[in-house]
Formats: sequence, C-alpha cells, structure tokens
Amino acid sequence: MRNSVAVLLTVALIPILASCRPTSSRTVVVYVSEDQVFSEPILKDFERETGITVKSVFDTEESKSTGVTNRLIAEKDNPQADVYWANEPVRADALKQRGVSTPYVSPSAEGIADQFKDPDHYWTGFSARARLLLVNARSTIKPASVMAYTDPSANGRAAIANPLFGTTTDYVAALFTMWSNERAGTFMNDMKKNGVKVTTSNGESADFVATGQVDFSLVDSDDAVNRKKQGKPIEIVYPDQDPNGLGVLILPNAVALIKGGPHAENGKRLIDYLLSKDTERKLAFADCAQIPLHSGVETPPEVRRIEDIKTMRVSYADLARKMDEIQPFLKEWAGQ
Amino acid sequence: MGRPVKVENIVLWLCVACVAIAGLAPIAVMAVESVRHNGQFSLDYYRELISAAPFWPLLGNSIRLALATTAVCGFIGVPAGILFAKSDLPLRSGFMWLLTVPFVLPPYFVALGWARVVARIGTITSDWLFGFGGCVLVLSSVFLPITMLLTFTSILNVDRRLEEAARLTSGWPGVLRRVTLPLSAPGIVFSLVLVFLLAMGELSVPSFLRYPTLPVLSFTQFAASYNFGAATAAAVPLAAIAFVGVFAESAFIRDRDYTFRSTGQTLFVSLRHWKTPLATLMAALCFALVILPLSALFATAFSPPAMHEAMQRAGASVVRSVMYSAVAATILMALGFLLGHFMRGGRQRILSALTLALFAIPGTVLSIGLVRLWNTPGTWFIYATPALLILGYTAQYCAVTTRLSLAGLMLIPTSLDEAARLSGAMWARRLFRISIPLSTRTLVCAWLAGYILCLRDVPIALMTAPPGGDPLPARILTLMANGAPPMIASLCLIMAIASLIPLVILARVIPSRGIIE
Repeated sequence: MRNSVAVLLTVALIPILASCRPTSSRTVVVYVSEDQVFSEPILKDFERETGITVKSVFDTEESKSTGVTNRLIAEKDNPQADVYWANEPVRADALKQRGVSTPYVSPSAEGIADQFKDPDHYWTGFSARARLLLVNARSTIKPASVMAYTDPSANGRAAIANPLFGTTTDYVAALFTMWSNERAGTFMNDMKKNGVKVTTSNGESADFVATGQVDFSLVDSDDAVNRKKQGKPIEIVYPDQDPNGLGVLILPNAVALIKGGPHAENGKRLIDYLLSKDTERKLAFADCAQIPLHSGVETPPEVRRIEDIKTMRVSYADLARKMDEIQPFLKEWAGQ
Repeated sequence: MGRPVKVENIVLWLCVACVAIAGLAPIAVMAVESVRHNGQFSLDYYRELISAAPFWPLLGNSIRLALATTAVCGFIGVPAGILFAKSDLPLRSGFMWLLTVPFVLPPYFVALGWARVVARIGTITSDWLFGFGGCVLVLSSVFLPITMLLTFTSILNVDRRLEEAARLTSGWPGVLRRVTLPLSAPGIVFSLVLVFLLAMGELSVPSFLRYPTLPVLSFTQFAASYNFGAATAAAVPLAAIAFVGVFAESAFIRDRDYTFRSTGQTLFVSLRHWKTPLATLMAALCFALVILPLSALFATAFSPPAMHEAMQRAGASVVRSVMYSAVAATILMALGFLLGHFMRGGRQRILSALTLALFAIPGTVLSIGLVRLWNTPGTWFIYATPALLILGYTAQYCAVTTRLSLAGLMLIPTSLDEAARLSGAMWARRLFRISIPLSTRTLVCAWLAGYILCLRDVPIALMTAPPGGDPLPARILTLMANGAPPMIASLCLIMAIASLIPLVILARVIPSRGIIE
C-alpha cells in the first residue's frame, strides 16, 4: 500500500516538477552559427568578464550554418535560447519573419552603419566576412570578376560550394537581387555548363584551390585568410571592384534576441558585449580575420577596412526573401 | 480472485517500458510525422523523396557501401577470429586488441588519420580516399573487430569434446569446416549482419569522406532544413532495411542451438612453419589498418601549444563525456542484465528482435525522433538536460548489454536457480543472491562495453546534447570547421585516451582463452 502511494505521489509530482523550470540568473543560452573555433573564445571572455555562464549550441559543418536557425524555429513555442549569433544576417532575418526573435536596441550598436542593421532592430550586424575569389598562385587564370566562372578558359577549373547551403546561397540570392531572375539563372546555368565543381563547403573549395585541384573558387574571407596563414600557394582577389562592377558581398555576423528566452536580461548583456568594439577587434585579429563595422577599430594588415571595399548594395531582408524564392531553382541546379 | 501479480513480471514490464519510452516512442512519433503534411494525412514526403533525383543513387550507395564493408570484414575478420581463437599464433592477444582499437574510437578519427596520410602522398590517393574506396577502407577498419571478436567468442564456445571426437577421424581443416564453423555460424552471421547494419547507418565517415549516402541526406534534412517529415522519410528505407536484417538473422538462428556452453577450454591448431608468415601478415594488417592512420592522426598532437589549446578547448566536455557515458553504461548494464535474465527465461524472440532493431536503426533517425517527442514546454527536464542524450544511448545500445548479459547468464547452471526456488526463495532474492554474484564479470564487461559505445557515439551526441553540454566527439566535430589541425589532433588524442582506458580494463577482465595443447 505504501509503495502504491509513493508511485502515485511521484506520478503526481512530475507535472509540478515540470513547471518548476530553473532559470538561473547567472546563465545565458546562445545558439551559434559562427565557427566554434572563433566564437567560443569570445564567449569565454564574456563569461570571465561578467561571471555569467554561457551555454552554447554550435553548428556543425554538415548543417551549413542553418541547423541552429531551424532548431530555433522548431523551438518557437518552447524557446531554449536567449540569443542567436548568426554568421550572416539572412538567417537572423528569417527568425524575424517567423516571429522567433524580438527587437532590441543595443547601446553598443551605435557607430555601426544602418546598412548592417535591421530597420526594426530585430538583429544587428557586426564583424563581417566578404565573399572573395581564392586563386591558386600557380594558375594561369587570373579572375577579377565572378563572370570568370562562365569563361571558356575556366572550363572544369573552378569550384563553388553547394549553393543550397551557407553563404553561397546568400551570394546567389544577391545575384538574383542585383540582376533579373533571368540573367542570374542564365549565369548559374552557364557556370554549370562550364564544368564548375560543386563542393560540400567553402572550406573544401578553399582546399581544392590550395592543392591545385581547381584554379579558383568563390569562398569566404575567413577561409581565404586561413589558407594564406597556413602558407598555401594562394592569392586573394576582391572581385568586381571596377566602378561599374557588382562589388563584394559583405556578410556581417548578426545577433538577435530570442522572444521568450529564459534569461532575457543576460541575453541583452551578451548582445551588448558581442556588438562592442573590443569584440570586433578580437575577431579582426583572430584567424577568421573579420572586418570591423565600427570605425576606428584596430585591424591587422591582411584585413581590409570596410571603407576601402566596393560593396554590393543589397538589403539583407531582400536577400532572405529571394533565397526562399529561388530554392526550387537551386535544388534543381544542385540536382537535389 | 485473480492471479497475484509477480514481482518479476512487474520488473519485466518496467524494463520493456524503459525500452519503449527510450526507443519505440520516438520512432513511432517519427513515423506519424512523416505521413502528416499541414495537419493532414499525406504521403507527400515519400513521394518527394522517391521522385527526387538523388534518392535511388543514394540508396544504392548506402547498400553498396554496406555490402562492401561487410565483405571485407567477413574476408579478414572471420579468419582472424579463427586464428586468434584456435591457433598458437605468436602475439595473438596483442594483435587482437590492437585491431580492436579503431572500434572504440569515433569512426571519423580513422578517416581523419587517412586524410592526413594521403595529404602527404598526393592528389591521386586523395581522390581515391574521398569516395567509395576510402569509405570502405575506413569502415572496414572500424567494424572489423565486430566480426573478429564475435567469431573469436563463438569459436571459443564450441564444445571441445565435439572437436576431439571429430579429430579421431579427420584432420584440422576438416574439423574446422564440419564442426567448428557450423557450430559458430550463428555468431558469425550475427556479426556480419551487425556490420552491414552499422555500415548502412554510418553518418560521420561518409559525410567526412564526401560519399553521399542516405544517412547523410537524412541528417542534412534535419540539420539544414529541420524538416522532420522529410528527414524521417529519408530514414525510413534505412529503418526498413534494418528490420529486414534483424529478421533475417532471427530466421537464420531460429532452428539453431545458439547457447553458450563453453567448457572454459578449447582445442587449438599448431601452425608450425606457418607461424612466422601468418604473424608477419597479421603485423602488416595491424600496421595498415591501425598504426598508420592513427599515428598520422596523432603525429602533430604532442606539440605543447596544440596540447595546451586542446586542453582548453576540450575542458569540461571530457568530463561530460565520461559522466554521460558512465551514467548511460550503468543504466545499460542494469537494463541489459534484467532483459537478459528474462530472455533466458524463455522470452527471447520478441525482446531480442526489439532491442536489436533499435541497435540497428541509425543514431540520426533515433535522435530525430527523440527531439521531436520531447521538445515540449512540459518536458523541459528531458529536452533541456542530458536526460535526452542518456535516453538515446539507452535505446541504441541496450541490445549489446542484453546480449552480453544473456551470454554470461547462460554459463550459470539453471539447477542453482531451481534449487533456490524449491527452497522458497523469491525471484528478487534469487536474483541478488545467485544471478548477480555469479555474473560479476559479465556485469563489468557489459558496463565497459556500454561505456565504450556511448563514449564513441557521434550522431546521438551531436543531435541531442543540451546547450553547453556537448560531449567530446561532438565538440571535436564542430571544432573541425577551421580548427588548426594540430589542435584537432590533440583533441583526438585526449578522446583516444579516454576510450582506451576501459579497453585496457576490458582486455584484463576478458581472459584471452583457456587453451589446452
């Protein structure tokens, strides 16, 4: 009899225990799409400086930096995270569209150009990457524009990461936004006809260039600088820099506050920290060599200043919409 | 007045409930999810999957990879197991445990090691490694110990009196062919089925070596699209093949006497002049499959800066890995022992099929179901804690501890239990006073096997770890994106040490064999 009562009590206690979710005032949960190797030291510094414990979920290379975005969407009714650190703003904008994030105006965002912020303050950009051409130093092909992908001399000699994922999707969506759908579609199909090798990631594309398996590839600036620091025989080209050129696509990190997150105040403190000049300086000097968006931040020689680059003038919200629109095209293009 | 409910029946149903909650419920949720679209019954996900261009090639790739890996493991592992169990090969124990090392490490370690080897050779070998050939090489190295060890164990359990009788009329080749191998066949077939299923469901190696398979597609659907329905649909062919494998194995052993009756000793073959050539061949195999890739992987691991950074990066995740694995191993040991106990009592078929099916289902599939089932506001204490991970480990690996426990329990004479029962001892008393004390070594082996399997697991760790609670194999995988190779090598070394310590204990707990010349 006593055992039966104990069992009944335990069963009855479960819902009560379930409602008593611990929300420690010294904790913040952050989902991170930026590479762990670069983001984790920043989060550790935050922990050290504030005494707030950071619990992180990092993306794997396989999920192409969309894994945690989608996890956040799936957890919308049961949020686990307080902050989302995206490695590019399009994913952060997707969270805004789906009602997962909430507006927050950080005092640290002052000095960052409006171009890199959501107009309604759902996300704020910082420390950017650029989409660059990585060229093998021994190659006879010297591309100065992405149009080199369709040049007959580059037949079978160029690579691009699968455009269904990551920053390559952003770049293709930017082309569709800057040009017409027809022109961008033709460009992609011509690229395919020209025997472009489709890789699984920008990192793999960079390795292909470094080992001479292809002559050039569009990659992220962190992949490029990383290979340069490893002493690989490569050259970095900022494409389409002539006055009428497309310019370089700039992809800042973006940080967003999650609606209904369990530790909102700590989340705001983390956002303030990530958007600070000090964080931008650290990310500029780290191996990812990211471009600070605040002016006056110290940078190493290999990191170009944002004002010295001709950038693509695109709205990241437009990019997000275009990405959804061109998914069927990209799936067909990539054979998936 | 109804029949009184026996304690053992309550415990049995509690054990079955544990397996059902941990494994069957998530699979059921996934199955429902895959046939619902916009809140209505629909087979759209399946239609899309089957009509999508890459489905059939990916399914073909998965089956091809599994068949090739099984063939290689059978071709090398079975003769190696026979040689270690029945011959006087020099250094056989050392060879056997060395060949077991890749199995206790996360599978992608061997792939990473080979990537380092071919990076020094050139692009031709690189092209070969990053594809079908490389996947077969790596998965064969990783799963070879399964066929080798199960062949070894099965052969040791053959009653030596039968072999002695056969030796009166036949030479050793005839005895092996007509007595030893047929009596060991269930164990060997079981090992081959296991290898096939594990190779079918493997994610990290095909993903790292860029060989597209169905588990990679399923994981991508989940991680990149968070599309449960599509991910489940992509996983269903794998689950179906897993079930076919389990039932094929079950049908094969149905009419066979698959019990363990080791006399503790076995007859063995003197190799005479074949000793040196076979020992050399075995040494070459150990070098090619274990020493070469792992030494390439660890070559840069010992530099002080890399080790320092790795220690900083690994930090608490090493402790977490050990803790999660220890907790899961304890649950697995207890659950496996109880299930083994019931299976010995005649409830073998259904429990065996149930646990083995969960073992055969890819970890990615199981994890998807777990996430879907437990991500609700009322179940945060499962979803947002390591409990989800432990549930995944329990569901996936209880077949191993159950089978190990059953094997150990078979060695205890039933007369002991019967005598205690006639003396009026209740089930719990017989369990604690007879079965458990006589199964100490079995329990240690089960715990260590559970610990090793949980520690090396990648898919469940990757997909169900709570925020800030990633185990080391998952952490290494996420750090591999742009992480410095020496630091990754040092992290792999730390992981290897954590995995090899229990293997060393296991090698000491399991006697190599009781040989009579």
